[in-house]
Amino acid sequence: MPALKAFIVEDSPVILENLIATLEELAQVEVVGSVADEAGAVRWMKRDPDANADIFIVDVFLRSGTGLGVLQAAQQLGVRARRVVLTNYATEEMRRRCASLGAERVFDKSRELDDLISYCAELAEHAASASAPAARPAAAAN
Amino acid sequence: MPPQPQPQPRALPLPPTERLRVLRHLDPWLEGASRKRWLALGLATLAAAAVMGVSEAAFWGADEALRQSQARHVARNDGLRLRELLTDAETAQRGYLLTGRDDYLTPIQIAEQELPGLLSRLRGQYASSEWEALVADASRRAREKLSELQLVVQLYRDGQDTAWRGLVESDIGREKMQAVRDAVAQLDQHELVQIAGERDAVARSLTYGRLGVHGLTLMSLFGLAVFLRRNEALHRTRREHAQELARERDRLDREVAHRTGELTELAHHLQTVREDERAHLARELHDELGALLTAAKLDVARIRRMTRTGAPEIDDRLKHMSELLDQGIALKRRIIEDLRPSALSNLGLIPALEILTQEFAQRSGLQLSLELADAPTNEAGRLALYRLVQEALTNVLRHAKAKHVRVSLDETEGWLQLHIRDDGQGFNPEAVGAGHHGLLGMRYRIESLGGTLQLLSAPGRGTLVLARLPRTEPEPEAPPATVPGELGGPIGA
Repeated sequence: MPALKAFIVEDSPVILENLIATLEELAQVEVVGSVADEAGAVRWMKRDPDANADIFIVDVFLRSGTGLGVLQAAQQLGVRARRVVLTNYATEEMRRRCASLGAERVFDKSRELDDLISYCAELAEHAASASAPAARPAAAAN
Repeated sequence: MPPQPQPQPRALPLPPTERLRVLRHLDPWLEGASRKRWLALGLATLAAAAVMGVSEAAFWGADEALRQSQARHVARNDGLRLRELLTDAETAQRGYLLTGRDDYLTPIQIAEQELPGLLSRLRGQYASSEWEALVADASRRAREKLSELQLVVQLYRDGQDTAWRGLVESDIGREKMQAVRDAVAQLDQHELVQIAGERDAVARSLTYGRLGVHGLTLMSLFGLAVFLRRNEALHRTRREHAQELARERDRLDREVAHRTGELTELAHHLQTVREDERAHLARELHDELGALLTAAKLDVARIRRMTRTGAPEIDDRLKHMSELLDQGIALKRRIIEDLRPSALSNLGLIPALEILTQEFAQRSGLQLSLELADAPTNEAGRLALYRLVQEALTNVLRHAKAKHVRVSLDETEGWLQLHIRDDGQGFNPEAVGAGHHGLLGMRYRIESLGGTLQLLSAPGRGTLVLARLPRTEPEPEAPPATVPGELGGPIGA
């Protein structure tokens, strides 16, 4: 059933846990991995830039390094997956920067959580309808 | 001679300690004298008056004695002159009688002329004294003698040889002569005795005067010595007092410097503690409270999806709850930003300054140009530079009426230099002062980090805020917390 594979860069375990549950429950998203810092994220992207995830959900403020660094690395590595930012610091300037580093959307961690869920759900639906026959066995296998 | 103070110690037989002891004995008395100044002055005046009186009395006594002595000399001379006249006259008579030449008679004529005046002076001199009778007797005999001499000469001239020879050979003339001689000798003796007595009186007067002068001189010397000693003591006390004051001042200077150092250290410490505390609080708020609120938000979203279709009232409540959580998160963010700029602590100085200035440009409509080179410094330095830019930009917006602001950060020769330059109306820094410009706190902050802050401006010339901080190696970043099993790799799949 899950049609969208997501990788999350988030340093707060509480948020991470809830976010995974919410996305999997509401948006048919499969969270394929998560890290708490920039270096881990970059390692993960380097391992396989294309195949493992459809979307990267990145927090800006991390335990070490920053989400901006993650976006920059993704851009440099030519990662094709969508990148979106989920942050507590969604100022205009931050949105501009993230956009310039290849982020598709920037979501505020309070006011725009619903938007993120909707966005993911939409992507998942779109992906599901596009590859319904292929997805079904994978979902069954899961 | 009273013991002298310091100036001539070798002239004194007493050992120094002994001398000091003696002077110490004098001290209470001197103390009293200097307290009862009028009494001391009165006593000194009295002593001076006494000496002057003695001296004056001695002078008058001596003067009187000398005048009397003078008179006695005259009287004595008169007596001697009487004897001389008579002797000369007698000698002349003898010579005339032997030779018969008239030129021998001159002394007799002189005696005739002088004798009356001489005798009247003598009688005047001894009038109403115990010698009056003697003088009268001597006068009478002198006149008789002279008359006898004249008579003999007259008889000789007249040729009455027998008569004059009889007169000459009789003892009458000799007796008279002898009586006059005796009287003159007695008077002379008397006068000599008197003159000696008066000379003694003069000598006594002179002695009294001399003693008085000596006494006053000694007293003056003593007074001078005391004055000098007290003066010396006064000077010594004053010197000691001045030295004491200087020592005390030095001690206070050191104390002030010490205290100032301590206070500076304390202020720096408190500043550090405060910033640490704020950073800690901000981190707690962000990491814990923020996460909880966001998680709650996610829960509410999930519940709303579940209940949206069935119960509209519940969805309304949940929507309201979600809004409350949004408000809570917004409040938390404001507090965090106020405590510690999260862009600075999470992204580093350069990105944080870029974000700050871009947002400022958007908000204010001013043109901003940035030249930020990598500037390694520690956390306190980063925060100070960030707050300085924040404060300076606020001032530009509030006071400068500028169109363009240029912010640059670079590093030269171990110093980080931050320039914030505007093209506004400027001001006179001396008239306004940094404190009124809201930068006093910043100045202290920069200086506590070993840097300097300058504010250069003039009316119509814009303003330049120039901060310099010593370069410091940034503290190594905390090693990434890669706890095993903590979401380090892919899950699921």
